[in-house]
This record gives sequence, C-alpha cells and structure tokens, in this order.
Amino acid sequence: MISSSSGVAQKDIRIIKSQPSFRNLLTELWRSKRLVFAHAVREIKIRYTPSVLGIAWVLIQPVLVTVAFAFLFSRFSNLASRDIPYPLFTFVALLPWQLMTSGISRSTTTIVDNKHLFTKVHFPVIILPLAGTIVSLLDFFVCTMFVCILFIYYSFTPSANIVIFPLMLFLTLYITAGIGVMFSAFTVKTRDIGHALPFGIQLSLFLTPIAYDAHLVPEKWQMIYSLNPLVSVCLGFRWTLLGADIPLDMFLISITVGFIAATTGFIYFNKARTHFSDVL
Amino acid sequence: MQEPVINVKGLGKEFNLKQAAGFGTGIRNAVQNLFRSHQPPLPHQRKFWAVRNLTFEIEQGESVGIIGMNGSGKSTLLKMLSGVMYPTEGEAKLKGSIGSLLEVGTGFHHEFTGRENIYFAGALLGLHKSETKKYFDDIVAFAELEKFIDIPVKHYSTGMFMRLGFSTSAHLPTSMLFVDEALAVGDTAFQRKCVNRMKYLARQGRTQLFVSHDMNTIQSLCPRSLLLINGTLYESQVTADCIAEYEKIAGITKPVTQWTGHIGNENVELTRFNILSRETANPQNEFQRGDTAVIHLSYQIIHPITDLVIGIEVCDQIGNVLLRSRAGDFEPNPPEMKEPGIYTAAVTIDLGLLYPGEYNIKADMGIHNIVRLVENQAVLELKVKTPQGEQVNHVHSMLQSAAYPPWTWQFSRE
Repeated sequence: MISSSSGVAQKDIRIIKSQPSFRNLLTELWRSKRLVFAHAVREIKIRYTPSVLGIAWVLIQPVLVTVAFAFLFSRFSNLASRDIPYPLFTFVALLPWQLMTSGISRSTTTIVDNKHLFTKVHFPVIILPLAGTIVSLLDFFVCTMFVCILFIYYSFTPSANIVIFPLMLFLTLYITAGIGVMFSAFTVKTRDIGHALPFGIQLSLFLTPIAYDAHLVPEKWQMIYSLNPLVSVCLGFRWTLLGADIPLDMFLISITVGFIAATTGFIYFNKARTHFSDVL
Repeated sequence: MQEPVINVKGLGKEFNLKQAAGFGTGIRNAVQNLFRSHQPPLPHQRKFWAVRNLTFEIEQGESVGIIGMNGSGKSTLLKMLSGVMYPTEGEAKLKGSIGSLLEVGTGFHHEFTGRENIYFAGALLGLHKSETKKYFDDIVAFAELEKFIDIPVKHYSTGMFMRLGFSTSAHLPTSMLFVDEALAVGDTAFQRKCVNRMKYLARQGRTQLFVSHDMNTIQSLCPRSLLLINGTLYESQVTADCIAEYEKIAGITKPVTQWTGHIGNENVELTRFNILSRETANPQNEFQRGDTAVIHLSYQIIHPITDLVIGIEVCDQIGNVLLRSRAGDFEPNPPEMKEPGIYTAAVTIDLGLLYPGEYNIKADMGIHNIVRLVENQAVLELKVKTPQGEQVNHVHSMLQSAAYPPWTWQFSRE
C-alpha cells in the first residue's frame, strides 16, 4: 500500500467542526513543527535572495541606529549607567526591541499575504505568523554576534545574570509571537493595523528605554510608560547581559501587560481562524 | 465492519455576503465585528447556506464523485473536508492524511523552482525532505518536467503548472486524495494520464473524492457518487443513477439514437421520438448530406386537450439552436387532434441544409402560450457525413454559418 509504507501516520484522526478547541490548535501545531521551519526558511529566501547585500541588511539597521544614538547622545553622560559603554548600553536594548517590533510587523501581514496557500491546502494557519517571529529570531542571532564583538571591543565582562538570559529570550519570543498572531488575525478583518504599525514602531523607539535609562522617566509617568511591553524586555536584556539596574516595578508591570496581551492574542487567533478563508 | 474513513454528520456552511460598506460605516462595523463574533446580522448583510445537513460516510479505498451544478456546494464541501474552511455547523471525522488539489498548483509559490515547491508540498504534509526525495523522481517524470524542474514556476505555462500540481498531489503519500476540477486544464493526453493514475491509486486502496463536471471521467473513476443540489445531498448511490438524476435536473440530456419514455403532464405525454430514413423507413442516425430524414414524434393524449404544440429543434453540439420548426408554423390550421389516443407526427428535414458534422435533435412539446412540456428531455443524435466524392471546401463557412442553404453563386464580367 502506498499510504502505509510512508512516513505519514495513517491513524491521524482529524475532526472538523465549527469551533476547534485551543488544544486542537496546539496538537496541530506540534504535528507540523517541521513546517514552521520550512516556511521560515522559505520566507528568508524570498526576502534576501533578490537583494545584493542579502543577509547583511539584518545588521545594517540596528548598527546604524546605535551609531546614530551614540553620536547624538553619548555626550550626555547621565543618560546611561556610568560603568557601561554607551554603544553597548544602547545596542543590547535594541536587540529585543528589534526582535519584537520586526517580529510583530512581519507577522501582521503573513495571513493576508499567504492567502493563496492556506485557502488551498490544509495546515495550521498559525504557523504563518509564527514563522514571522522565527525569521526575526534568526535576524536576532546575527545581531547577537555583533554584540559579542562589542563585548570584546570594550573588554566588557557579561554579568552573572546571563544565566537567566534564555528565560528572558523566551518571554520576549512569547510576547512577540502572541501579539504578532493577534495582529495577523486583525489584519484579515481590517487593514488598519498595517497603517498604524510603522508609525507605532517609530514612536516606540523613543518610548522604550533604548537611548536612555528607564530611571530618567519622570516618576508620575512611569506607570503609563510601563504599559508598553517593550519596556520590560529592554530592561530585562540589559539586566541579564550587562548587569544594569532593573527598576522592578516597571519591569513587572510591563512584562505582565505583555504576557496578558500575548495570551489574549493566541486565544483570539484560535477563535478568529475559522473565518480566515471565508473573508479572504 | 470497518469504520468509515470519512464520516460526515450534519455538515453545513453559512456564508455572509457583505455588501460593500459605504464610507463611514467602516469604523462602526469594525468595532462591532471585533468584539461580537455572533452578532445579529446587520441589515446590509445577507447570509446564505452554501451547503447544509450533509450526512454521509465514505469507506477506506472508495472513489467517490461529487456531482452538482455550479453553486451547488461541491467545492465548499471539499474545502471543508480538506480543512481549509471551517463548517458553521455539524462535524466531519477523517482518518488519515489528505492530499488535496483544490485548484491548479495548490500552494505553489511563484518565485520558487519546481523542485523547491515539491519539497515544500511534502513539508505541508509533514514529510521530511529525505522522505519527499523518495517520490521526487516519480513526480517529475509523471509531470514531464525534467528539463524545467529547476526554474521558478512563475515561468511555467498553465499546463506545466497544472501537471506539476497534479503529479505532486498524486504521488506524495497521503491516504486520501481530493481533486477539485483540476483536470479541466491540460491536454487530452495528460488528462487521460491523470485518470489512469487515479484509477491506479484507487486500486492501491487510496480513498479519493473527485469533483468534476465531466461526467465521463466521473463515471469511469467513481463507482459511487454524491449528488449535491442547492447545497443539500440529493442522493448518494451508484454513479450512473446520480448522473441521470443530475442531467434531468440540469436539463442536460444525453442524445440517444431513439427515444422512448413518458414525459408530459396528466393529459398528454410524448412516448416515442426517432429519426427514420425516408427511403427505407428504418430508424437511422447517420445520413449523408443531401439525404432527407423523417422525424417521428409519437404522443398519447390521455384526456382531451386543446392547443397542443409539437415541434423539433436542430442544435449543434454546444446547444445552439440552428433550425427550429413547429407543426402549424405555416399552415393556418394544423390538424387538431384533441381526442384521447396515440398519434404520430412526422416531419421531414432536408439534410442538405446542414454542414457535415454531429447534431442533436430535440423534441419540443407544449400547450400554446401556457406551458412547455418537453424541452430538453428527449434528444436524438444525428450525424451528417460528406457524400463520397464531394469536395470539401467549406471549412471556413462551417465555423461561421449555422446552415447550408442551396446557395448558387454566379460570376460575370462587365
């Protein structure tokens, strides 16, 4: 028999009904884990093959932002902690900022962009926005290498908090994926997110402690300032990699907001996904 | 007994036909849509059920055709079973992996080469690259694309694209194969190849669902069929019966050499319809151009009636009416036969009027200005051949002229 000799499990049982459970989303996702990466690789190829500089583009943007910030702000010595070199201080915060913003903005259009795919073949649609996050994660690793170079250049010893770094990275990915997934589902219904997002990201560059330290935010604004989930990941990265002070209340508020938003995103996606092929 | 591999219970799909929203209504609707997934329909929204109350089972290894007119819900059903669309109500249980070919080139990305797309199709089924590799050569050979497999599929012709799509779906190891109209493209030779491949897979025990408007293919592939009419399952049984029922409803009738039956109403019925040769008075369907045929329509009057209309239509193969005649068109008073009894109307037709080719003759019966009783149900085939020795110079006119009246051309020089 053709079917039994293959690697495809014959005993797969698929139940098709109007509102699949959240567990169903997870089992489907687990079953097609390979596809997530296959799709991410495909996205990377589509993105970098037609450009001359290829994967170098990943580095160009954060490096230029760091250089610009260093050039503009390094004279204000009170912006950053005294014992951390300013470019390192900035670049380490830019890492999660870029991971999150590019991950979210990349995820946002994935469903609309791949309508030719999921309206024709069955697979868990959530892998499309997730692949967006994964592509950004690969960009992130490229940038991490640059951080290593900075560490060596400034002969800076990473803090011992680095053991918590994997957890911090995981949280960042979770929030990125959750919000990305939510936005991708919104975009099926309305394209407004696509218009608002670039502007929001630009704004967030200044509303996140990247060029400056979070202590500099006036006390009465700190509460509202912390509602931005990007704040927590930037603080967290600085704390784990550079051993910088972490304003715990701001960090906690921000990470909670991010966590709730991401979880809501996954749940919303599970509800909304049944309408994707009807609407598109 | 073995459990069915596809078990569908009360499956239904409702669509929301939104009218284009006017400027300014966008924000209000968007807010409503985001927060209320089950709100009462807004006045500008119309809903309709594409399919509803579908319940059927399909056993392991069955090949089942899905027949129905456009808009009857065939594709919606297949999309739901493939998992790309979710039902509004009901449930379906499927065992095994599914390969679906819902449209030409399912899931192919235009920027990628044929090779990359094949591997990606494998990944969609959860196959590792090394597993897909085992089928790769067969896929390429079947699609006859050895030379083109490493160029982006955007440079493929429609036919190449389709061949790759079919070949990929039909070779990757799935336990079910769903095919929706995918064979409509492609040349006849490849279509035959596809049908053979599907027959082979059926023998191998693969469960197949096949949507098509091509009744011949359905008949040769699927012992059993589902007939969908306006979104409900009309019958699920032997394919031949489904096709007959479908053709009755769709108003398509296969031409026959001679027709007998009973159609009409409680007062009058057409009972027999055939073509005879004028010379021999025997039933005949093949004539030479220039022959004269006699068409007989027999009908039974059960209760006295008035204003009965009898006629014929000569149509080409696509259904265009070329010639049409009704008894009484020219005589002021056709013989009125109102009393119960069996009657035969005979009409002669000069086949010199037709170009050589194949035609259909339809019986036409009705009550004047009230109802048409027989319209498409009785159709005869008629072949007109070129007489031996006649020179054929009329190919061009044939394509643009319905009939062939005895033209005479004369040329003179002034």
